Amino acid sequence: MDSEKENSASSEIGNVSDKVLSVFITELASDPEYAEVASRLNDVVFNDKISEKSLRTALFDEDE
Amino acid sequence: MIRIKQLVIHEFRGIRNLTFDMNGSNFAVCGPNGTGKSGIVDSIEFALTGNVSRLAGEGTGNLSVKDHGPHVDCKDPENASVSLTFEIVSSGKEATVHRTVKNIRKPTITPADEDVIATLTHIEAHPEFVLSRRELIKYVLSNPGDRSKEVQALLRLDKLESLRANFQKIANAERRGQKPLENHKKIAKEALLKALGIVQLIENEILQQVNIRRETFGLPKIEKLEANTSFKDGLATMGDAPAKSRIVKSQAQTDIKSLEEKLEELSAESFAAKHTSALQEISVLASDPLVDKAASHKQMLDVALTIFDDQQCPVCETEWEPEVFKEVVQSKLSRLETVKRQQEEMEKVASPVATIYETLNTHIATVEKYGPIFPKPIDVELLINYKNALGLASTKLRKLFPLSESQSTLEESFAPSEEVTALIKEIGTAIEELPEPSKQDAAREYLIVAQERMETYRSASIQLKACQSKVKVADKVQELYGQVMTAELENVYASVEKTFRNLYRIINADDESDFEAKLTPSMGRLGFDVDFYGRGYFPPGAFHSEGHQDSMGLCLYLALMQHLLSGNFTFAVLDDVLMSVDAGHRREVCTLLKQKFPDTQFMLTTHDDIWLRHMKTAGLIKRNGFVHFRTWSVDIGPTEWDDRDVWREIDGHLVKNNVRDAASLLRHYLEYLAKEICHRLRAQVVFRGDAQYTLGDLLPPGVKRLRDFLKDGIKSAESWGQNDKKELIGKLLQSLNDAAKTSEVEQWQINTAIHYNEWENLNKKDFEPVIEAFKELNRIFECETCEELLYVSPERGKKEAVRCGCGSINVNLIKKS
Repeated sequence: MDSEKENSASSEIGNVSDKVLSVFITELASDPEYAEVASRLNDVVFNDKISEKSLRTALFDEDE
Repeated sequence: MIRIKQLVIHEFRGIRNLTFDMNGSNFAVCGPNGTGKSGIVDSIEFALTGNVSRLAGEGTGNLSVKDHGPHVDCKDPENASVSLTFEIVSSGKEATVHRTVKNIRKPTITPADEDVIATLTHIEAHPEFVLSRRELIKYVLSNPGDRSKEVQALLRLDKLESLRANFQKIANAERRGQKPLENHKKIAKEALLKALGIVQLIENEILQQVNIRRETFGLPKIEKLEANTSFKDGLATMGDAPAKSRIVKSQAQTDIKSLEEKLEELSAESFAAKHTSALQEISVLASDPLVDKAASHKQMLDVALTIFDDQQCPVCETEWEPEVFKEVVQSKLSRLETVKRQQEEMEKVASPVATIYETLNTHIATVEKYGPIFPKPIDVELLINYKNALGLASTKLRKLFPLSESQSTLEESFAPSEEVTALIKEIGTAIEELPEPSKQDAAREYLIVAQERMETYRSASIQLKACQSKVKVADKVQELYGQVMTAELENVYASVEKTFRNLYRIINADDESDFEAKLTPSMGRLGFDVDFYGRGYFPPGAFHSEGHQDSMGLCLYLALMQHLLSGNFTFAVLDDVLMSVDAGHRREVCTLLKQKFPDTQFMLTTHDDIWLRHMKTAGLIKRNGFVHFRTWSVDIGPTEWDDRDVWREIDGHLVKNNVRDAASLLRHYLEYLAKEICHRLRAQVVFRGDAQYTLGDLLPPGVKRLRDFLKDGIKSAESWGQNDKKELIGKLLQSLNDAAKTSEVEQWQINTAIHYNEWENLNKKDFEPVIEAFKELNRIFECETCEELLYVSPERGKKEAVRCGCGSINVNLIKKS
């Protein structure tokens, strides 16, 4: 029980952010035209460090 | 997440050596301004995060923890340290973090277990546990843009905002890149149309013209125009003699004509108007050297944000917390918003001029190539120089900064010199003198040039299409992200708004029990309006008093923290946040903190003794749950009240035979105590319009009230057959009667000899029994266990019981019916 509490405390960091991002990715993926973009963005936006470069790569499937 | 057990400060922020045992309970630090209260707050922040907000951020100039953290006389930063022992609430594990100014980023953590380090890392990244009055005002009175940043930082939404800014930046960049590509395609299309000799790019017309030429060579007709169709397909195998001239006369004629037309545009009125407008606008701003500097600054900050490695400043290599660094840079960038707008305006006026120079440059590049390949070559160096000058001018105008260069470019005339005009004319004449090609030569040249131009046009189309595709994706993502973020944040703010309203109503139940508030988020802004006695919604600073604004700030902070951390909101520092709240409402603040946040350890600082006593009598802090600084000196640091208790201090005065100070302190304390007793027991006091109640007005009714309640309690216990309870209440009543008799409190109004004004004239021996009598009286009104003053419940309406905070004392007033 204690460890569960501790986990929930750690995952509290940015929980609002994660919820917003989850909804955003789900809605983007629901449009077949943007499903692949959503999949690539999903691998990027939940990371702590997000750069413009990594977002461009995900959006346009550009080479790193 | 944590509660603080002990704090040990050594040579840090004006404090020489201090140890506080907080034991995970609420704790107060009281003292006049300049006695070291803030040093305690700074020490906690330093131990947990390595930072001191007061020494960082906006308006702190060249201050730093490294240089200004240690005590001014401390020469070795190794000696300036703070040790903080804390409990991780969820696991009960105790740990200590010891941090020195010498090794700010390398604290000693004991035990250095994974969960302990994770907890400290979490706190270090989000040091919102400290709420100072400065922060509080930001939530309430700042403009919507700044408030949004503060609240987003607190709710840890900075990542969402950063993502939004990045999506917007990418979409803007793609949109900007689309324009030159559209221009490129337009130029390529015009060139293709001229080469084909048609006016519209329609498949049938293209193929009709192309097939006429192909027929000359007996080549098969092209029936369909596809992406890889070549107009000259099969031409290489015909083995016809090559054209006599390497210049396609008809095409060269078109090219020289186009160049002449473009040159005419330079002298047209429409261009002159655009040119003048650009020159005027840029000249105005070029005269202000700060604009260039600000633009360079903005560019540097943009780059700094991009290349920041989350550790060191890319310029000076100072170590920064990532969020703090980004906040500082963003804050500076926001101050350069004006420059950004000015830059956009200047780009608008400079762009048409640059476009004409670029177009001319392209046309000259086409024509200059003919020079060396005429039967009698023509030296085109002058034309090349002119082309290069146009190219340089357009580059400067596109770059815009430094503005002085854009200005001088616009002041310069780029009309062709007489020599250049003569040279163009000479080229034109040479083209006209070229022999007319044979029918087959003309057809061959047509197909070759048309194919070249077609390929250029196809390439431009592909580039534009790729760009348009990116714009579509970027726009879609930006728009959807904005919609989702707004909708979700509206939900968050609706929840925070509800909690905030309820908390504020608790503090202000007396006059704002129907209080409402609205938090309205929009892109990058957070509106905050509050109801003013049903007269409508206004900004908090519009009509509400400063005290109300303070309590709004506190409630908003608590609502945000509760939303963010829920059950993990276990620790907060409230640094002098209620300085404008009156005594009555502070009492309600105590109730709020105790009842609504029972699992949160609050550390409160105040310069107000009365507020400290409120905290004690309301049971918010325990008897030993505070320190009281009286003075501060540079050699010693803060000087604490040794006794930590008013009775001990009174005794202390008496030991020194200082009856005058002991009497004064006793009088002030009893005045405060009497008010508290009357308030909490709902005692009936003779009303005074001037509210100048003396001790004699208040203490006797308070004593009488408790006596009456205890008598009622005995009757009630009898009715329920609770003999043991009856006996306990009886003892309490007897103690009260004894104490009242000894202190002669109820003879106050008729026996002026014992009035407190006489106390200071007593000698020590005579005054000692007075103190003991009131000490005993005070004890009866307090619970020994929770140290809270007794109160009657409920606060309004029919009285049901007399209780203390922990329930150890509970005198039922309702008799069995």
